[in-house]
Amino acid sequence: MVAELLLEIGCEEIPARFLPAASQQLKQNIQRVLTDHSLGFEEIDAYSTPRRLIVHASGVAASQPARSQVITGPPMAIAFDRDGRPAAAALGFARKNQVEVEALSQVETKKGSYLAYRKQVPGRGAKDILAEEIPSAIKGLDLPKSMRWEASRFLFLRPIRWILCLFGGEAVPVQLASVRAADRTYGHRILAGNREAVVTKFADYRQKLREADVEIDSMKRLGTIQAGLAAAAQGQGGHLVEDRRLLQTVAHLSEHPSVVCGEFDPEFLNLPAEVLITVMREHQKYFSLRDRQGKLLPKFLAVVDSDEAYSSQVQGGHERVLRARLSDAAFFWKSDSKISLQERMGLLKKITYQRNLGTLYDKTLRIKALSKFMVEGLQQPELLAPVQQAAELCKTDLTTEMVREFSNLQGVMGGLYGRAQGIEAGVSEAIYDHYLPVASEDGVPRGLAGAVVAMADKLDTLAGAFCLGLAPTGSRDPLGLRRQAMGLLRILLVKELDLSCQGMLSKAYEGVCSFADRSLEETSRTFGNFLKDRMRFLYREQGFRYDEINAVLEVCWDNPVESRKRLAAIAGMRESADFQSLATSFKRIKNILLKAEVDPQAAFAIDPARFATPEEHLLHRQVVTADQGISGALREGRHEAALGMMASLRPAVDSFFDRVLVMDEDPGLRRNRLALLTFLLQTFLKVADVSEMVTA
Amino acid sequence: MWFQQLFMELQTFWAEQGCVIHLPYDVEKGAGTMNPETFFRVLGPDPYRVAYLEPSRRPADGRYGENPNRVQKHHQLQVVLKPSPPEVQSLYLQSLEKIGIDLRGHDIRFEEDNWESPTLGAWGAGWQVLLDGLEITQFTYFQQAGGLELNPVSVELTYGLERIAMFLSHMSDVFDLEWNAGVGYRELRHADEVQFSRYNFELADIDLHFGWFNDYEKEADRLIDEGLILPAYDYCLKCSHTFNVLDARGAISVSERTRMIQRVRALACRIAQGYLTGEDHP
Repeated sequence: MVAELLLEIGCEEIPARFLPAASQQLKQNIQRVLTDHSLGFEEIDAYSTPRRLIVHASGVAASQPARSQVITGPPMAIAFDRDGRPAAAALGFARKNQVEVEALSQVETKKGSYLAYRKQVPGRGAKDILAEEIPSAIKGLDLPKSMRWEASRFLFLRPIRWILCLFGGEAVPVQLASVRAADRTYGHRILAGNREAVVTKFADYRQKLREADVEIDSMKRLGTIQAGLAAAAQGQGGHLVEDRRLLQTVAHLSEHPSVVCGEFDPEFLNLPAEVLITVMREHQKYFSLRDRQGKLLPKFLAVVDSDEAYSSQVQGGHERVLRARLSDAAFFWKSDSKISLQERMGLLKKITYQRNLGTLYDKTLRIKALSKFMVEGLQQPELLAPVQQAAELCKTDLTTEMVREFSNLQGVMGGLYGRAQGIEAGVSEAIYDHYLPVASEDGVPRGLAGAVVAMADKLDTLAGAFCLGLAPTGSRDPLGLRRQAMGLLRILLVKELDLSCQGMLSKAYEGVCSFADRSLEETSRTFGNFLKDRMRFLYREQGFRYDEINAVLEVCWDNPVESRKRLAAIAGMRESADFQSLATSFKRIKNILLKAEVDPQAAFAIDPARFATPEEHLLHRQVVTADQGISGALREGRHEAALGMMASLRPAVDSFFDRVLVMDEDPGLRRNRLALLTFLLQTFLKVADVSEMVTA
Repeated sequence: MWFQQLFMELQTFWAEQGCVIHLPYDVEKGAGTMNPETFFRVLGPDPYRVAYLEPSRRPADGRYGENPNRVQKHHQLQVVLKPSPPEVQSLYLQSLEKIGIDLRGHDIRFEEDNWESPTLGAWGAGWQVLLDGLEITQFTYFQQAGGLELNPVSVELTYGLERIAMFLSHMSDVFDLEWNAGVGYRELRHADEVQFSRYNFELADIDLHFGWFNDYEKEADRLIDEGLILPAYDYCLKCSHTFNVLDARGAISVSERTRMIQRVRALACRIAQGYLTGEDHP
């Protein structure tokens, strides 16, 4: 016998940002109840609207399977008398289990044969189990921001107002907070006047809610919205400014979404498109439209929780609200423009950047010094002037009203105000871009000046945090340092900037050293490990294998451009037979040196006069050649060539190991051979630690 | 609908729900929540229902009477229901119908907005209620006030009267509203906006205000020690308003700002505790 489980927790509006996770968690918790109690099921699904969390499971076993339980009794030896008649022990055991002796059987254990009763235990009914377990499944949700609303002091995202819980068409007596589950649900609050509906099964539930203007499937709602947006955009002869995140949000804000198109005064188009789009998105959750040339249209698309039939009625209100919001933005733009970015530099002195790391003005000076250092490292003197100006002005927009209102426009506003104030295009663009990349899908700054300022900003943030011992731990990264480091790495790689991370960090440390409570050595070490971890993550994302990554990062991480090139070279060569064999030999060399207690990093002295075999001579000659060749190739950026030279040593290495006993009894011979291997190892390590490679 | 009709209708509605219809409190404040009828009444165990009109002063929101949507003094209708009744959302929607809003024809949404008042040591969970995209009400389940956990939980509804009135009369300029048949909002309120904007942004004497802030704080402290909680609260409110004027005047640095908020909050928390331990409170 199987039946259907339907659970709906009816709430006052649950915040959109918590809805997807809460819905998934509820499903997992209910699924756990079923599996923990051996209740089989066919499928389990979760649905949600702002007013409900829903779980539906089909084909749920009506009861647990019956199971047999073995109850062990007295040893056979004393259970029956010599004639095979039940003795007192057997009779007592049978009585205790309320069965006849004939119903008993025998089990073999390590200690011998025992009398036993194989009892059939019927499974419990699913409904009882559900009534008992569902409340804890709901209480067990890990909810980020809960509240109380009634005397029960129950904690939940928002007040729970009804619970629908059906199993096999019958209400399950679940009690939670002050609510007792029943067999009814409620329709759309406004469109269906919160109409009550008695429900018998999921199909019936879904149908009745559809009739009551509620779509429970958020993906369906999202589809409706997408179609509505596309149709409206087409109707206006425009293109939708895509916004995936906004789309998700609005799908979780309505039970019956429809799209309303409105207009705003074209005069507002004097404001930058970035500002208009942000005002519409952040304040009103509206979508924007562009024309075919990419210019913003004086229109907006609002997703409302109402029916299309009312859209003309709803439109006017939305238009008036947007007008007020845009007037505010225009006011900010006008009043911000009264003070130039240059003048705003002084205002930065009053704003704390971060406790223990000075003011934003201090940070500005640090970014300036650090970006100068980078420009020198890049040997591009013509960059210096624009980079220095951009560095000085990059934080000034934090003093504007607009950024105070819309923090996600930081940088962007600086660039726009700069452009409006006649600051050189390259400088404005660098200011505009210097927070990039923010999200993982973001691009890096367009120009080199922007890239340099962006890196200097991020390095200062990182150095500041690490010198105070604020490195991220586990899942905790309140300062967003991982994102900053990823940004830094991605800029270096995309722009192919040959810069040393340790070098830049030391320079950044100079800036923050007066605040530091960690030494440069410690800061540098923790930062180095952290950055290596980020690189591993980034390279894994780019499809490299972890052993390749380890082989390279073991010897070369400080310059990401260089490490990335080596990685590409190794990935291309790893399948070759020479390389595979070399990796094996390399491990062998490392082991030999380890056993002989030779420090592989130490200096060594080879005396070719003491070689006793031609193989030693051959290998030595080839390593000398390869060593020079590899150094030269790496200098010139010919990474495949360097690896090729490594691989070409294979025959010499193989014949050496075939014919030569390293650990010879003669200490002189032995020392010399170990020195040769040390030389070989150090030559290899110039490229990568191939002992990290997993060979086939 | 005239402006005065709007709040009269709402008051009538909530009177029918058993609310005491109270009056504005005569000390400057930034929000209706700061009226003692809310701040004190949500503390402790006793049930209570109250509604009152409250002029709210936000010096930094002044626009010299030139912005059609922003004013340094606006009006709220504040409703507190303690404990929060299970049907509160539907009661609230009924109140909107009472003032002539046809719910079916409009987009009404409850969007997450968790109210917080750092100066009062108070926070709550709730929503901003949006009517065709316009925020018309703050809807809050009070969780804490004066730093104290609240039991039972009160629900607070704060109607933004000017916005609702503009919505009802399809107006886009607050100064075009009609207060009654013959008198306009402009006539009653505009000069006030112009003069107070000038005062708050340009002329408020900074040294005097800093001095006042210190004096009010000292007086509140002394009164708390004396067990005179209600007068102490007046001085706590005065601290808060003085701070708001200084803030609008641009006289407070970022770090100073945090410190001053903490000072007001410390008073509010001591006052809340004093209120609960005192015997002769209302």
